[in-house]
Amino acid sequence: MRILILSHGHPELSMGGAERAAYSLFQRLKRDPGVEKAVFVARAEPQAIGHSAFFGSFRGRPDEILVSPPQVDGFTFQTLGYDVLKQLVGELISSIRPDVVHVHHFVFWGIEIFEMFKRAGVKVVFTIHEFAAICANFGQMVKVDGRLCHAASPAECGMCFPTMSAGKFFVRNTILKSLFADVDYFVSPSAFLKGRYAAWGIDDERIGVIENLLDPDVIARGRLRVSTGVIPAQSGETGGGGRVVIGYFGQINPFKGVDLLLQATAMLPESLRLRLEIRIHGENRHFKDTAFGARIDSLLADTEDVVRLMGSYRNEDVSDLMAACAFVIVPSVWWENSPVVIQEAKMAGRPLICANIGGMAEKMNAATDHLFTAKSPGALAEVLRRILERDTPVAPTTLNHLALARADVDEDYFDEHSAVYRRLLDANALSLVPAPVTAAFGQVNVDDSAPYGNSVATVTVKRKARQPRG
Amino acid sequence: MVCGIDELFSFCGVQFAVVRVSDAEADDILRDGLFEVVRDEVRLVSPVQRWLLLDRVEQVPLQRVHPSRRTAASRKLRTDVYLVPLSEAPGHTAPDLRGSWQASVSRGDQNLARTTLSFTAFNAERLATTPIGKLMAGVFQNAERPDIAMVLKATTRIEHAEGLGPSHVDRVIAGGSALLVDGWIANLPGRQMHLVTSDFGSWVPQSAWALRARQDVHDHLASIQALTTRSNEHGFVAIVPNADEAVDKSYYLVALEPDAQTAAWFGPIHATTTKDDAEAILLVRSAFGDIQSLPRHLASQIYHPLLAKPENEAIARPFRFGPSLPSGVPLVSIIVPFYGDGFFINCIHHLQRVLGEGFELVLVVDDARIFSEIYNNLNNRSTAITVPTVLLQNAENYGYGRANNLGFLAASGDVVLLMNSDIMVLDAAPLRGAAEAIRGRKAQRLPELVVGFSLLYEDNTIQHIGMEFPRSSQVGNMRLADHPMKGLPYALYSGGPVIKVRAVTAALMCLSADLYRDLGGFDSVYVRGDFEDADLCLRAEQLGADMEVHVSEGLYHLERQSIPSMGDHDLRGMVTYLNCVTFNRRWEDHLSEPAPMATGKRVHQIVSRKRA
Repeated sequence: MRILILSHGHPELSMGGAERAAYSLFQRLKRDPGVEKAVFVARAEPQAIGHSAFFGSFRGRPDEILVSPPQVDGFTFQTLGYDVLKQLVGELISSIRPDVVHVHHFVFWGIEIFEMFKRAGVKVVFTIHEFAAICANFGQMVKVDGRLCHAASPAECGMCFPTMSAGKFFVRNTILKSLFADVDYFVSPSAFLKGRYAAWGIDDERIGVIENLLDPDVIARGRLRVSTGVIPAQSGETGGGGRVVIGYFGQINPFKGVDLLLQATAMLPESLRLRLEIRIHGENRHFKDTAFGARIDSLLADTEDVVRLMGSYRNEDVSDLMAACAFVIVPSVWWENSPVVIQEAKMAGRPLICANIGGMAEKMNAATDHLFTAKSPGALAEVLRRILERDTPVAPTTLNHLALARADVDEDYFDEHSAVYRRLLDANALSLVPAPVTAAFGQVNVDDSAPYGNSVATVTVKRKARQPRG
Repeated sequence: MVCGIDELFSFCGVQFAVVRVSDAEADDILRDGLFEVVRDEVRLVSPVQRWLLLDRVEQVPLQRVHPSRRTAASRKLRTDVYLVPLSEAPGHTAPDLRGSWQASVSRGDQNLARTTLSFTAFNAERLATTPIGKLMAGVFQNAERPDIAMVLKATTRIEHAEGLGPSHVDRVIAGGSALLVDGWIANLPGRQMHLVTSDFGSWVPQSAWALRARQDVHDHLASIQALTTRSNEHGFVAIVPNADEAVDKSYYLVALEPDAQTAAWFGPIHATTTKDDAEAILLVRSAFGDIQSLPRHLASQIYHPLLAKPENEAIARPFRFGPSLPSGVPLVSIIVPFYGDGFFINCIHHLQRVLGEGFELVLVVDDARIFSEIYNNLNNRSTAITVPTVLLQNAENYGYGRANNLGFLAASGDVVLLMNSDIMVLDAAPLRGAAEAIRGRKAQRLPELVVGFSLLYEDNTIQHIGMEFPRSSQVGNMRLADHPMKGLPYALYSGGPVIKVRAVTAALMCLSADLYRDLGGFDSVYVRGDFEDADLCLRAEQLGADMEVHVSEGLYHLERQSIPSMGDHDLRGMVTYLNCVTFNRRWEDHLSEPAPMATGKRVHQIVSRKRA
């Protein structure tokens, strides 16, 4: 099997969960003896390529290709340079000769990449990472005034974007849905995300729920830590002065809820604040000079006795940095999909504090983790108070077992991915082929020349038990 | 030569020719002669009975004949010069006169004179020096323009503009296809003034001016003891229609003396114009009143020139994309005008995916602001274009009707599908079905068919399942083009798959190219995309065609969202009202009669004008 993993960025150049998930899968595929060839293809800025060609390689690695495709229309995600993109995809196909392309995002590429691979006879798998196709507000399904959005419709979406009419959202939906018809199989890392896409109009039998793989280095570090029982020197389960350390990991942006965390912290009485340390691992790269940035600065000034800004971190260190915390917190104010940071926290053997919505709530372990009402600083403050006053820490052995279980289950996730690829390639006769996209408005007709016909087979990916082992 | 054609000219909407006939032929020609001027499909004729004797010239022929053989009769040769009026009346839709015309005088099958001529400008001096004005006066009297006739009958005196006395033109604003002259003339209420453009394209009598109080002028005239009237309405606003931008904007102010014996033509006065549509509308509203407050005939007379586009010659530059046209295969030509928002090129991209064979696309960009966006969009995805596509770049903004008509000229199909840019086609089967129904009718020589479609909004409510024409108090009890069930869920529709109706929307309308040609396309008397389709259907009905709505799912009309930049709400309201007035003037009586039954007869051909 020859496989091309297509990402909207290289994790070394743009650190996002989807890029890391795509790259982790690529690394695992390279080790699989059944895979003849695996190539990671990431979109990159021309400066990152470093020369004038559309293609380049990352650090000279022959199987990590950087591509600078034409710009994409920010509303419909159609490429603004179809002909150029088609040529680039054609060159990728002719030089890599993939049997399967696994797309981890179409943003920066253009929604037409599905049809381009499909028409060349390449099986197309697509992992959805957020709600980009459903929601024009950064794919968050959060209304522009900050309220959570429960369902999209052209008229309601038009209310979020007064300059874009309901009709234009209808056009957007139609285009995206019709081009999704060229995806052979969707992978969703969370059942919640799958549910939203199914409600939007993708046949739910075309979507399998498979968790993202973790970086092999992260898993290896986790295993080592569990086996040796050594937590790196710079860490410690408690901070200075016996404080309980709660770590935040990720970017500082308006969707991740750092401001909510700071608000909740500010609400705590001083007696509790003396026992708490919040470590923020991450940077505010893009929102420094915005109203959000000013708000964060103001909240940081209010909580400087509790909060430590730890700066950015390298991905391979994340497991150790997490292990140095008593809890890892994910306070996002949007639904999330399946945050990699949750999986990493599990790998680090650390209990989580999470907002009780979407793809976060779904991943929680009731025995070890804490949920709070999303978007409510008061609710989060209450959870923090309870932890600081009453909570009995989970036994380290239990957490170690959970960490090992997470390490082990990664192989299951990989097997499930492999099973999808194999089924697609074996599906010349028995097709794991999508039904035409059924949308709220009815049936979308796809190009008659599309290489699949009317036969519809339903395939359910058999899931292995995900219960923690050990 | 015994018969010659000297001249073609146009005077205030009436076309004239000047023809010379020698006496040897005069009797024959005068019995059953016919003057004709033709270009393409436009033909103007005048039988000899309508000719007016302008001049008679007698001269002795130069012959080398012995004096003893000369007879009295042969000594003089008489030549009659005739003024030949060519149209029935001014105000009818005037043909575009630019370019060369074939003019001829014939008698039965015999051609007496034939020549190629262009229409030339009429010179005001001729009114003063020849009797032509008095002959034309009769024509205008018959044409129910006694105001023009009265001036032409009077003795003409051409004077310098200053001879008019105290007066001033404050500003001349170009708006729409009109020119607004805003100024004052001393003692205007006591005078009989006319404003005539120096190309004689427009004649605006004082009765059509809005007189305005000018106390400042009144006080000034009083101070110099120049007042002859008690009224202070010395100010005026005159609307000059059909002010073609290409024409030199100068005019005469004509004062008819109280005894109507003499008409003084002051000018020509050259106008320095400012193009400002919004300012023009403001001026007209303040001088004449809101469109809804005016009697219907005045609403149209005053506001139509203001809201209409100048009827310049329509020119477009074609660009071709995708495969070439297949030969020997019947084609459906989909004509899509674009205006205001290039976003809806996305609907065309989608159309490329769902259409398949048997179609061509004619995209007419009627808006220079969005051309490059659309062009680049197509050019950058040339390999995704599977349907033969013509992109037309209009030289100017011609408006919806003319943009479609221009698209039709570039279309190759035997069936035409008119489509708004904000139509989203999820399923092309209904389009194929309509084309086949239309072709089937033609094959069986049955009446022509115009097919509209059920169109849905994005929320699956009905946008269109046919048109009706109820009266509405919102527009002075005139008839509106109404969409029944508009906005109601499609699921509530319980009728059959085909509805017989009187009219369908042109947002998505299918008809044969022959019928579209016979109808002359959309009538550009309607302004900016309103009522043309209802008018087209009712004209098609008069030709014997049937109208049907084909009901199916999968066709969406994201209505009105493609023209957000047309202007403010007020302007939209004015345009709709104006078109409503125009439509009702033409069809109100007809619509009050019972709907005709399908005739079952073959549609007959009519003489049409090929125009964009």
